[in-house]
Amino acid sequence: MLCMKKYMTGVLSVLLATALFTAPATAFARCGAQGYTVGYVNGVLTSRPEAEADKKALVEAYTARVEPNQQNPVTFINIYNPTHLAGVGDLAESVSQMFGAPISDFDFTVMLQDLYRELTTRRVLMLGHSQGAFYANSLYTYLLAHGEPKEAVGVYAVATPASVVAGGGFYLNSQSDVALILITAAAKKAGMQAPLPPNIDIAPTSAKDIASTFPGHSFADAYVAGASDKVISDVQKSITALQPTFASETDDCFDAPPGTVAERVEAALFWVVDPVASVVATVSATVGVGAANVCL
Amino acid sequence: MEPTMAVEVKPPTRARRAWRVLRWPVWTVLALYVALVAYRVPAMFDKQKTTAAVAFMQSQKLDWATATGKNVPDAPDEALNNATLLGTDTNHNGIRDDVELAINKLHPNQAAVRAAELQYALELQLELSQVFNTDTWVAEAKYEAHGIDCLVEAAHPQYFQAKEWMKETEDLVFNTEKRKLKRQFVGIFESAFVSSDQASCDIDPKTFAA
Repeated sequence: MLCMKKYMTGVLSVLLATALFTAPATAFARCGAQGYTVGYVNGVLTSRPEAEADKKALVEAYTARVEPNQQNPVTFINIYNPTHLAGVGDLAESVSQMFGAPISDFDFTVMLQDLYRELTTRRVLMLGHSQGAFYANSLYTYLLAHGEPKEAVGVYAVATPASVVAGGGFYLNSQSDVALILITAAAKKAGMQAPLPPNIDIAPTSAKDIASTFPGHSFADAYVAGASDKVISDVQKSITALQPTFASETDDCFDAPPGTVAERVEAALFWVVDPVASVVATVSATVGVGAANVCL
Repeated sequence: MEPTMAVEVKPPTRARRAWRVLRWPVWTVLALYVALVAYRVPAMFDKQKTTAAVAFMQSQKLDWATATGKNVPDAPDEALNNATLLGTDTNHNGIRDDVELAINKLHPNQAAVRAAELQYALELQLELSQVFNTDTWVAEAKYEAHGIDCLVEAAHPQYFQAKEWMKETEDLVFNTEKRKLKRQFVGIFESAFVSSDQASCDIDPKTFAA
Protein backbone atom coordinates (compact mmCIF):
# COMPACT_ATOMS: atom_id res chain seq x y z
CA MET A 1 0.00 0.00 0.00
CA LEU A 2 2.81 2.33 0.98
CA CYS A 3 4.61 1.39 -2.22
CA MET A 4 1.50 2.20 -4.27
CA LYS A 5 1.15 5.59 -2.55
CA LYS A 6 4.79 6.41 -3.29
CA TYR A 7 4.32 5.29 -6.84
CA MET A 8 1.23 7.42 -7.37
CA THR A 9 2.93 10.45 -5.80
CA GLY A 10 5.84 9.96 -8.18
CA VAL A 11 3.59 9.72 -11.21
CA LEU A 12 1.65 12.84 -10.25
CA SER A 13 4.86 14.76 -9.62
CA VAL A 14 6.15 13.87 -13.08
CA LEU A 15 2.84 14.91 -14.64
CA LEU A 16 2.75 18.23 -12.80
CA ALA A 17 6.39 19.00 -13.48
CA THR A 18 5.88 18.32 -17.19
CA ALA A 19 2.83 20.54 -17.24
CA LEU A 20 4.51 23.36 -15.34
CA PHE A 21 7.62 23.33 -17.49
CA THR A 22 5.70 23.24 -20.73
CA ALA A 23 3.21 25.96 -19.74
CA PRO A 24 3.59 29.10 -21.80
CA ALA A 25 5.31 32.13 -20.37
CA THR A 26 2.97 35.12 -20.64
CA ALA A 27 4.67 37.62 -22.85
CA PHE A 28 3.24 41.10 -23.20
CA ALA A 29 6.14 43.04 -24.49
CA ARG A 30 5.36 46.69 -24.17
CA CYS A 31 5.93 49.47 -21.73
CA GLY A 32 6.62 52.40 -24.00
CA ALA A 33 8.35 55.67 -23.24
CA GLN A 34 5.84 57.63 -25.32
CA GLY A 35 2.48 58.69 -23.96
CA TYR A 36 0.65 58.50 -20.68
CA THR A 37 -2.10 56.34 -19.24
CA VAL A 38 -4.70 57.75 -16.88
CA GLY A 39 -6.56 54.99 -15.07
CA TYR A 40 -9.91 56.06 -13.64
CA VAL A 41 -11.06 54.03 -10.62
CA ASN A 42 -14.69 54.61 -9.62
CA GLY A 43 -16.06 54.65 -6.09
CA VAL A 44 -18.81 52.81 -4.22
CA LEU A 45 -22.42 52.68 -5.34
CA THR A 46 -21.37 53.56 -8.87
CA SER A 47 -22.95 51.30 -11.43
CA ARG A 48 -20.84 50.10 -14.32
CA PRO A 49 -22.61 52.37 -16.87
CA GLU A 50 -22.15 55.34 -14.51
CA ALA A 51 -18.47 54.55 -14.07
CA GLU A 52 -17.99 54.50 -17.83
CA ALA A 53 -19.92 57.78 -18.21
CA ASP A 54 -17.73 59.35 -15.50
CA LYS A 55 -14.54 58.29 -17.26
CA LYS A 56 -15.84 59.57 -20.57
CA ALA A 57 -16.80 62.91 -18.97
CA LEU A 58 -13.17 63.20 -17.86
CA VAL A 59 -11.98 62.43 -21.40
CA GLU A 60 -14.35 65.02 -22.88
CA ALA A 61 -13.29 67.69 -20.37
CA TYR A 62 -9.64 66.89 -21.01
CA THR A 63 -9.83 66.96 -24.80
CA ALA A 64 -11.80 70.23 -24.65
CA ARG A 65 -8.99 71.89 -22.68
CA VAL A 66 -5.72 70.29 -23.70
CA GLU A 67 -4.23 70.33 -27.18
CA PRO A 68 -3.61 66.78 -28.40
CA ASN A 69 0.03 65.78 -28.14
CA GLN A 70 0.97 63.45 -31.00
CA GLN A 71 4.29 62.57 -29.37
CA ASN A 72 2.79 61.76 -26.00
CA PRO A 73 -0.89 60.91 -26.35
CA VAL A 74 -2.94 60.37 -23.21
CA THR A 75 -4.93 57.15 -23.02
CA PHE A 76 -7.77 57.05 -20.51
CA ILE A 77 -8.65 53.63 -19.21
CA ASN A 78 -11.45 52.47 -16.98
CA ILE A 79 -10.43 50.42 -13.95
CA TYR A 80 -13.84 49.20 -12.90
CA ASN A 81 -14.44 48.69 -9.22
CA PRO A 82 -17.62 46.56 -9.05
CA THR A 83 -20.56 46.94 -6.69
CA HIS A 84 -21.15 44.10 -4.24
CA LEU A 85 -24.31 43.15 -2.34
CA ALA A 86 -26.17 46.18 -3.69
CA GLY A 87 -23.56 48.50 -2.18
CA VAL A 88 -23.48 47.00 1.33
CA GLY A 89 -20.34 45.04 0.45
CA ASP A 90 -18.69 48.20 -0.90
CA LEU A 91 -19.44 50.21 2.22
CA ALA A 92 -18.00 47.44 4.40
CA GLU A 93 -14.96 47.29 2.13
CA SER A 94 -14.56 51.10 2.35
CA VAL A 95 -14.62 51.05 6.15
CA SER A 96 -12.04 48.26 6.20
CA GLN A 97 -9.89 50.24 3.75
CA MET A 98 -10.09 53.27 6.06
CA PHE A 99 -8.63 51.03 8.76
CA GLY A 100 -5.94 49.99 6.30
CA ALA A 101 -7.01 46.32 6.32
CA PRO A 102 -9.21 45.51 3.30
CA ILE A 103 -11.67 42.63 3.78
CA SER A 104 -11.04 41.17 0.36
CA ASP A 105 -8.22 41.34 -2.19
CA PHE A 106 -10.24 39.70 -4.93
CA ASP A 107 -11.28 42.82 -6.89
CA PHE A 108 -7.82 44.29 -6.44
CA THR A 109 -6.15 41.17 -7.86
CA VAL A 110 -8.49 41.11 -10.88
CA MET A 111 -7.79 44.81 -11.49
CA LEU A 112 -4.04 44.16 -11.43
CA GLN A 113 -4.24 41.15 -13.72
CA ASP A 114 -6.29 43.15 -16.23
CA LEU A 115 -4.13 46.25 -15.86
CA TYR A 116 -1.10 44.11 -16.62
CA ARG A 117 -2.64 43.22 -19.98
CA GLU A 118 -3.91 46.72 -20.84
CA LEU A 119 -1.08 49.01 -19.70
CA THR A 120 1.18 50.00 -22.58
CA THR A 121 2.94 53.11 -21.30
CA ARG A 122 5.56 53.45 -18.62
CA ARG A 123 3.98 56.63 -17.28
CA VAL A 124 0.70 55.99 -15.51
CA LEU A 125 -1.55 58.13 -13.33
CA MET A 126 -4.15 56.46 -11.12
CA LEU A 127 -7.17 58.73 -10.73
CA GLY A 128 -9.33 57.48 -7.90
CA HIS A 129 -12.77 58.85 -7.10
CA SER A 130 -14.25 58.29 -3.63
CA GLN A 131 -13.54 54.70 -2.53
CA GLY A 132 -11.62 54.33 -5.79
CA ALA A 133 -8.96 56.52 -4.16
CA PHE A 134 -8.15 53.67 -1.74
CA TYR A 135 -7.68 51.37 -4.72
CA ALA A 136 -5.58 54.03 -6.48
CA ASN A 137 -3.31 54.19 -3.40
CA SER A 138 -3.07 50.39 -3.26
CA LEU A 139 -2.37 50.15 -7.01
CA TYR A 140 0.45 52.68 -6.59
CA THR A 141 1.98 50.68 -3.74
CA TYR A 142 1.71 47.42 -5.67
CA LEU A 143 3.15 48.85 -8.90
CA LEU A 144 6.15 50.31 -7.10
CA ALA A 145 6.83 47.02 -5.39
CA HIS A 146 6.55 45.08 -8.65
CA GLY A 147 8.63 46.83 -11.26
CA GLU A 148 7.34 50.36 -11.81
CA PRO A 149 9.83 53.13 -10.99
CA LYS A 150 8.57 55.71 -8.50
CA GLU A 151 8.97 58.61 -10.92
CA ALA A 152 6.73 56.93 -13.55
CA VAL A 153 3.62 56.44 -11.40
CA GLY A 154 1.32 58.99 -9.79
CA VAL A 155 -1.99 59.20 -7.98
CA TYR A 156 -4.65 61.88 -8.16
CA ALA A 157 -7.58 61.58 -5.77
CA VAL A 158 -10.97 63.21 -6.15
CA ALA A 159 -13.56 63.24 -3.33
CA THR A 160 -11.23 61.00 -1.37
CA PRO A 161 -12.18 59.53 1.99
CA ALA A 162 -8.52 58.51 2.49
CA SER A 163 -6.20 60.44 4.76
CA VAL A 164 -3.29 60.32 2.30
CA VAL A 165 -2.60 60.35 -1.43
CA ALA A 166 0.05 57.78 -2.30
CA GLY A 167 3.25 59.28 -3.64
CA GLY A 168 2.23 62.73 -2.42
CA GLY A 169 -0.10 63.30 -5.36
CA PHE A 170 -2.72 66.02 -5.70
CA TYR A 171 -6.25 65.68 -4.40
CA LEU A 172 -9.52 67.57 -4.70
CA ASN A 173 -12.10 67.48 -1.91
CA SER A 174 -15.04 69.85 -2.01
CA GLN A 175 -16.39 71.60 1.04
CA SER A 176 -19.90 71.00 -0.33
CA ASP A 177 -19.38 67.25 -0.77
CA VAL A 178 -22.05 65.79 1.51
CA ALA A 179 -20.54 62.29 1.48
CA LEU A 180 -17.20 63.66 2.68
CA ILE A 181 -18.89 65.76 5.36
CA LEU A 182 -20.64 62.63 6.69
CA ILE A 183 -17.50 60.45 6.44
CA THR A 184 -15.39 63.07 8.24
CA ALA A 185 -17.91 63.33 11.09
CA ALA A 186 -18.18 59.52 11.37
CA ALA A 187 -14.40 59.04 11.26
CA LYS A 188 -13.88 61.60 14.05
CA LYS A 189 -16.57 59.95 16.16
CA ALA A 190 -15.03 56.50 15.63
CA GLY A 191 -11.50 57.74 16.28
CA MET A 192 -10.41 56.88 12.75
CA GLN A 193 -8.21 58.98 10.51
CA ALA A 194 -10.38 61.63 8.86
CA PRO A 195 -10.33 62.25 5.10
CA LEU A 196 -8.05 64.94 3.75
CA PRO A 197 -9.48 68.42 4.43
CA PRO A 198 -11.49 70.21 1.74
CA ASN A 199 -9.39 72.30 -0.64
CA ILE A 200 -12.13 73.64 -2.91
CA ASP A 201 -15.80 74.59 -2.71
CA ILE A 202 -17.75 73.45 -5.75
CA ALA A 203 -21.18 74.96 -6.18
CA PRO A 204 -23.82 72.57 -7.56
CA THR A 205 -24.26 72.83 -11.31
CA SER A 206 -27.32 70.67 -11.84
CA ALA A 207 -30.60 69.79 -10.22
CA LYS A 208 -29.71 66.13 -10.66
CA ASP A 209 -26.66 66.54 -8.42
CA ILE A 210 -28.64 68.43 -5.77
CA ALA A 211 -31.32 65.73 -5.80
CA SER A 212 -28.81 62.87 -5.51
CA THR A 213 -28.25 60.86 -2.31
CA PHE A 214 -24.92 62.60 -1.68
CA PRO A 215 -24.97 66.02 -3.36
CA GLY A 216 -21.61 67.36 -4.41
CA HIS A 217 -19.96 63.91 -4.45
CA SER A 218 -20.49 62.67 -8.01
CA PHE A 219 -17.34 62.64 -10.13
CA ALA A 220 -18.93 63.84 -13.38
CA ASP A 221 -21.98 65.74 -12.11
CA ALA A 222 -20.22 67.60 -9.27
CA TYR A 223 -16.43 67.66 -9.67
CA VAL A 224 -15.98 67.60 -13.46
CA ALA A 225 -19.11 69.66 -14.14
CA GLY A 226 -18.32 72.21 -11.42
CA ALA A 227 -14.52 72.37 -11.42
CA SER A 228 -13.34 70.94 -14.71
CA ASP A 229 -10.54 73.50 -15.09
CA LYS A 230 -9.10 72.49 -11.72
CA VAL A 231 -9.53 68.75 -12.34
CA ILE A 232 -7.91 68.90 -15.77
CA SER A 233 -5.12 71.18 -14.59
CA ASP A 234 -4.34 68.76 -11.73
CA VAL A 235 -4.35 65.80 -14.13
CA GLN A 236 -2.09 67.65 -16.54
CA LYS A 237 0.33 68.67 -13.78
CA SER A 238 0.36 65.14 -12.42
CA ILE A 239 1.13 63.43 -15.73
CA THR A 240 3.74 65.92 -16.93
CA ALA A 241 5.66 65.34 -13.70
CA LEU A 242 6.02 61.64 -14.54
CA GLN A 243 9.23 60.32 -16.08
CA PRO A 244 9.42 57.28 -18.41
CA THR A 245 12.34 55.75 -16.56
CA PHE A 246 13.30 52.24 -17.71
CA ALA A 247 10.75 52.26 -20.50
CA SER A 248 11.00 49.17 -22.64
CA GLU A 249 9.52 47.81 -25.86
CA THR A 250 10.30 44.29 -24.79
CA ASP A 251 9.56 44.06 -21.08
CA ASP A 252 6.31 44.22 -19.13
CA CYS A 253 5.50 47.35 -17.13
CA PHE A 254 5.18 45.38 -13.91
CA ASP A 255 4.79 41.88 -12.57
CA ALA A 256 1.18 40.74 -12.39
CA PRO A 257 -0.02 38.91 -9.28
CA PRO A 258 1.13 35.33 -9.78
CA GLY A 259 -1.95 33.60 -8.37
CA THR A 260 -1.86 30.86 -5.76
CA VAL A 261 0.17 27.68 -6.22
CA ALA A 262 -3.09 25.75 -6.71
CA GLU A 263 -4.19 28.16 -9.45
CA ARG A 264 -0.84 27.89 -11.21
CA VAL A 265 -0.87 24.10 -11.09
CA GLU A 266 -4.45 24.06 -12.37
CA ALA A 267 -3.59 26.49 -15.18
CA ALA A 268 -0.57 24.41 -16.16
CA LEU A 269 -2.55 21.17 -16.21
CA PHE A 270 -5.32 22.74 -18.25
CA TRP A 271 -2.75 24.09 -20.67
CA VAL A 272 -1.69 20.53 -21.41
CA VAL A 273 -5.20 19.12 -21.52
CA ASP A 274 -7.29 21.89 -23.12
CA PRO A 275 -6.12 21.58 -26.74
CA VAL A 276 -7.28 17.95 -26.84
CA ALA A 277 -10.46 18.72 -24.86
CA SER A 278 -11.19 21.54 -27.28
CA VAL A 279 -10.91 19.19 -30.27
CA VAL A 280 -13.19 16.69 -28.53
CA ALA A 281 -15.70 19.46 -27.80
CA THR A 282 -15.63 20.67 -31.40
CA VAL A 283 -16.04 17.17 -32.80
CA SER A 284 -18.83 16.40 -30.33
CA ALA A 285 -20.63 19.64 -31.20
CA THR A 286 -20.26 18.87 -34.89
CA VAL A 287 -21.84 15.46 -34.58
CA GLY A 288 -24.53 16.89 -32.36
CA VAL A 289 -23.53 15.36 -29.09
CA GLY A 290 -24.15 17.62 -26.08
CA ALA A 291 -21.46 18.25 -23.51
CA ALA A 292 -23.41 16.35 -20.90
CA ASN A 293 -23.50 13.22 -23.00
CA VAL A 294 -19.85 13.13 -23.84
CA CYS A 295 -18.33 9.94 -22.48
CA LEU A 296 -14.75 9.10 -23.06
CA MET B 1 10.53 -43.33 -19.53
CA GLU B 2 10.28 -40.77 -22.16
CA PRO B 3 13.08 -38.39 -22.49
CA THR B 4 12.18 -34.92 -21.29
CA MET B 5 12.52 -32.14 -23.75
CA ALA B 6 14.67 -29.34 -22.60
CA VAL B 7 12.90 -25.99 -23.12
CA GLU B 8 15.24 -23.16 -23.55
CA VAL B 9 13.96 -20.16 -21.62
CA LYS B 10 15.34 -17.00 -23.03
CA PRO B 11 16.07 -14.28 -20.51
CA PRO B 12 13.92 -11.20 -21.13
CA THR B 13 15.57 -8.52 -23.17
CA ARG B 14 16.57 -5.22 -21.58
CA ALA B 15 13.77 -3.39 -23.40
CA ARG B 16 11.19 -5.87 -22.17
CA ARG B 17 12.43 -5.54 -18.62
CA ALA B 18 12.24 -1.76 -18.89
CA TRP B 19 8.70 -1.93 -20.27
CA ARG B 20 7.61 -4.21 -17.40
CA VAL B 21 8.76 -1.54 -14.97
CA LEU B 22 7.49 1.44 -16.92
CA ARG B 23 4.17 0.22 -18.26
CA TRP B 24 2.16 0.97 -15.12
CA PRO B 25 3.34 4.55 -14.78
CA VAL B 26 2.71 5.07 -18.50
CA TRP B 27 -0.81 3.62 -18.30
CA THR B 28 -1.52 5.67 -15.18
CA VAL B 29 -0.39 8.91 -16.81
CA LEU B 30 -2.47 8.14 -19.88
CA ALA B 31 -5.53 7.31 -17.77
CA LEU B 32 -5.12 10.55 -15.80
CA TYR B 33 -4.75 12.50 -19.02
CA VAL B 34 -7.89 10.99 -20.52
CA ALA B 35 -9.81 11.67 -17.29
CA LEU B 36 -8.66 15.30 -17.31
CA VAL B 37 -9.64 15.69 -20.95
CA ALA B 38 -13.11 14.35 -20.14
CA TYR B 39 -13.34 16.74 -17.20
CA ARG B 40 -12.41 19.73 -19.38
CA VAL B 41 -14.70 19.06 -22.35
CA PRO B 42 -17.72 20.92 -20.84
CA ALA B 43 -15.43 23.89 -20.07
CA MET B 44 -14.29 23.87 -23.70
CA PHE B 45 -17.91 23.90 -24.86
CA ASP B 46 -18.42 26.92 -22.64
CA LYS B 47 -15.30 28.58 -24.04
CA GLN B 48 -16.46 28.04 -27.61
CA LYS B 49 -19.91 29.43 -26.75
CA THR B 50 -18.22 32.43 -25.12
CA THR B 51 -16.04 33.08 -28.17
CA ALA B 52 -19.09 32.91 -30.42
CA ALA B 53 -21.09 35.28 -28.16
CA VAL B 54 -18.24 37.81 -28.00
CA ALA B 55 -17.77 37.67 -31.79
CA PHE B 56 -21.52 38.21 -32.23
CA MET B 57 -21.50 41.22 -29.88
CA GLN B 58 -18.58 42.78 -31.72
CA SER B 59 -20.33 42.29 -35.06
CA GLN B 60 -23.34 44.35 -33.92
CA LYS B 61 -23.24 47.94 -35.11
CA LEU B 62 -25.84 50.63 -35.54
CA ASP B 63 -26.51 51.06 -39.26
CA TRP B 64 -27.07 54.34 -41.06
CA ALA B 65 -30.66 53.54 -42.09
CA THR B 66 -31.69 52.86 -38.50
CA ALA B 67 -29.86 55.92 -37.17
CA THR B 68 -31.60 58.19 -39.65
CA GLY B 69 -35.04 56.65 -39.25
CA LYS B 70 -35.14 55.16 -42.76
CA ASN B 71 -35.68 51.62 -41.55
CA VAL B 72 -38.51 52.10 -39.07
CA PRO B 73 -40.47 48.96 -38.15
CA ASP B 74 -44.22 48.77 -37.78
CA ALA B 75 -45.59 49.02 -34.24
CA PRO B 76 -45.42 45.54 -32.72
CA ASP B 77 -48.24 43.72 -31.02
CA GLU B 78 -47.58 44.74 -27.42
CA ALA B 79 -48.69 41.47 -25.84
CA LEU B 80 -46.66 39.41 -28.28
CA ASN B 81 -43.63 41.67 -27.96
CA ASN B 82 -43.65 41.51 -24.18
CA ALA B 83 -44.38 37.79 -24.00
CA THR B 84 -40.78 36.86 -24.69
CA LEU B 85 -37.49 38.00 -23.25
CA LEU B 86 -36.09 39.25 -26.54
CA GLY B 87 -39.32 40.63 -28.01
CA THR B 88 -39.74 41.35 -31.70
CA ASP B 89 -37.22 42.84 -34.09
CA THR B 90 -38.90 42.68 -37.47
CA ASN B 91 -36.34 44.86 -39.29
CA HIS B 92 -33.45 42.74 -37.92
CA ASN B 93 -31.25 45.61 -36.80
CA GLY B 94 -30.68 44.22 -33.29
CA ILE B 95 -32.97 46.79 -31.62
CA ARG B 96 -36.37 45.73 -30.33
CA ASP B 97 -39.12 47.32 -32.42
CA ASP B 98 -40.93 48.98 -29.50
CA VAL B 99 -37.66 50.48 -28.23
CA GLU B 100 -36.67 51.77 -31.64
CA LEU B 101 -40.04 53.43 -32.19
CA ALA B 102 -40.03 54.98 -28.71
CA ILE B 103 -36.54 56.46 -29.15
CA ASN B 104 -37.47 57.89 -32.54
CA LYS B 105 -40.54 59.47 -30.96
CA LEU B 106 -38.61 60.86 -27.98
CA HIS B 107 -35.90 62.54 -30.05
CA PRO B 108 -37.31 63.33 -33.50
CA ASN B 109 -35.13 66.41 -33.96
CA GLN B 110 -31.92 65.42 -32.15
CA ALA B 111 -30.21 63.09 -34.61
CA ALA B 112 -27.02 62.63 -32.56
CA VAL B 113 -28.91 61.84 -29.35
CA ARG B 114 -31.32 59.55 -31.16
CA ALA B 115 -28.46 57.63 -32.78
CA ALA B 116 -26.58 57.39 -29.47
CA GLU B 117 -29.68 56.05 -27.68
CA LEU B 118 -30.37 53.57 -30.49
CA GLN B 119 -26.78 52.36 -30.28
CA TYR B 120 -27.04 51.99 -26.51
CA ALA B 121 -30.35 50.12 -26.91
CA LEU B 122 -28.72 47.74 -29.38
CA GLU B 123 -25.96 47.06 -26.88
CA LEU B 124 -28.33 46.68 -23.93
CA GLN B 125 -30.35 44.10 -25.85
CA LEU B 126 -27.21 41.94 -25.86
CA GLU B 127 -27.36 41.84 -22.06
CA LEU B 128 -30.58 39.87 -22.53
CA SER B 129 -29.32 37.53 -25.20
CA GLN B 130 -25.57 36.98 -24.95
CA VAL B 131 -24.42 37.13 -21.31
CA PHE B 132 -24.10 33.80 -19.51
CA ASN B 133 -20.79 33.93 -17.64
CA THR B 134 -18.21 36.42 -16.38
CA ASP B 135 -16.27 36.51 -19.66
CA THR B 136 -19.36 37.41 -21.67
CA TRP B 137 -20.40 39.91 -18.96
CA VAL B 138 -17.05 41.69 -19.22
CA ALA B 139 -17.11 41.60 -23.04
CA GLU B 140 -20.63 43.02 -23.04
CA ALA B 141 -19.67 45.71 -20.49
CA LYS B 142 -16.77 46.81 -22.69
CA TYR B 143 -18.98 46.77 -25.77
CA GLU B 144 -21.80 48.66 -24.04
CA ALA B 145 -19.26 51.34 -23.07
CA HIS B 146 -19.24 52.50 -26.71
CA GLY B 147 -22.89 53.57 -26.52
CA ILE B 148 -22.38 55.20 -23.12
CA ASP B 149 -19.39 57.15 -24.40
CA CYS B 150 -21.43 58.19 -27.43
CA LEU B 151 -24.17 59.55 -25.16
CA VAL B 152 -21.62 61.47 -23.06
CA GLU B 153 -20.15 62.97 -26.24
CA ALA B 154 -23.63 64.10 -27.26
CA ALA B 155 -24.23 65.59 -23.80
CA HIS B 156 -20.88 67.37 -23.33
CA PRO B 157 -20.52 69.36 -21.11
CA GLN B 158 -23.94 68.64 -19.49
CA TYR B 159 -22.86 65.20 -18.26
CA PHE B 160 -25.94 64.67 -16.08
CA GLN B 161 -27.93 64.76 -19.32
CA ALA B 162 -26.08 61.68 -20.59
CA LYS B 163 -27.07 59.77 -17.46
CA GLU B 164 -30.70 60.76 -17.99
CA TRP B 165 -30.59 59.50 -21.57
CA MET B 166 -28.94 56.29 -20.37
CA LYS B 167 -31.74 55.74 -17.85
CA GLU B 168 -34.36 56.59 -20.46
CA THR B 169 -32.95 53.91 -22.78
CA GLU B 170 -32.51 51.35 -20.00
CA ASP B 171 -36.13 51.83 -18.92
CA LEU B 172 -37.28 51.19 -22.49
CA VAL B 173 -35.18 48.04 -22.94
CA PHE B 174 -35.81 46.54 -19.50
CA ASN B 175 -39.53 47.27 -19.46
CA THR B 176 -41.04 44.02 -18.17
CA GLU B 177 -40.47 42.00 -15.01
CA LYS B 178 -38.91 39.21 -17.06
CA ARG B 179 -36.39 41.59 -18.66
CA LYS B 180 -35.63 43.34 -15.37
CA LEU B 181 -35.06 39.98 -13.69
CA LYS B 182 -32.77 38.86 -16.49
CA ARG B 183 -30.70 42.03 -16.04
CA GLN B 184 -30.44 41.34 -12.33
CA PHE B 185 -29.51 37.75 -13.05
CA VAL B 186 -26.65 38.60 -15.40
CA GLY B 187 -25.43 40.95 -12.65
CA ILE B 188 -24.18 37.90 -10.75
CA PHE B 189 -21.38 37.65 -13.32
CA GLU B 190 -20.21 41.21 -12.55
CA SER B 191 -16.48 41.50 -12.07
CA ALA B 192 -13.71 44.06 -11.80
CA PHE B 193 -12.08 44.74 -15.15
CA VAL B 194 -9.84 47.19 -16.96
CA SER B 195 -10.79 48.59 -20.34
CA SER B 196 -8.61 50.69 -22.62
CA ASP B 197 -11.15 50.59 -25.45
CA GLN B 198 -11.51 54.11 -26.89
CA ALA B 199 -14.33 53.47 -29.38
CA SER B 200 -17.62 55.33 -28.99
CA CYS B 201 -20.25 56.26 -31.61
CA ASP B 202 -20.82 53.71 -34.39
CA ILE B 203 -21.84 56.62 -36.60
CA ASP B 204 -19.86 59.84 -36.28
CA PRO B 205 -22.31 62.51 -34.98
CA LYS B 206 -20.67 65.05 -37.33
CA THR B 207 -22.25 63.22 -40.26
CA PHE B 208 -25.70 64.28 -39.01
CA ALA B 209 -24.74 67.95 -39.03
CA ALA B 210 -23.59 67.76 -42.64
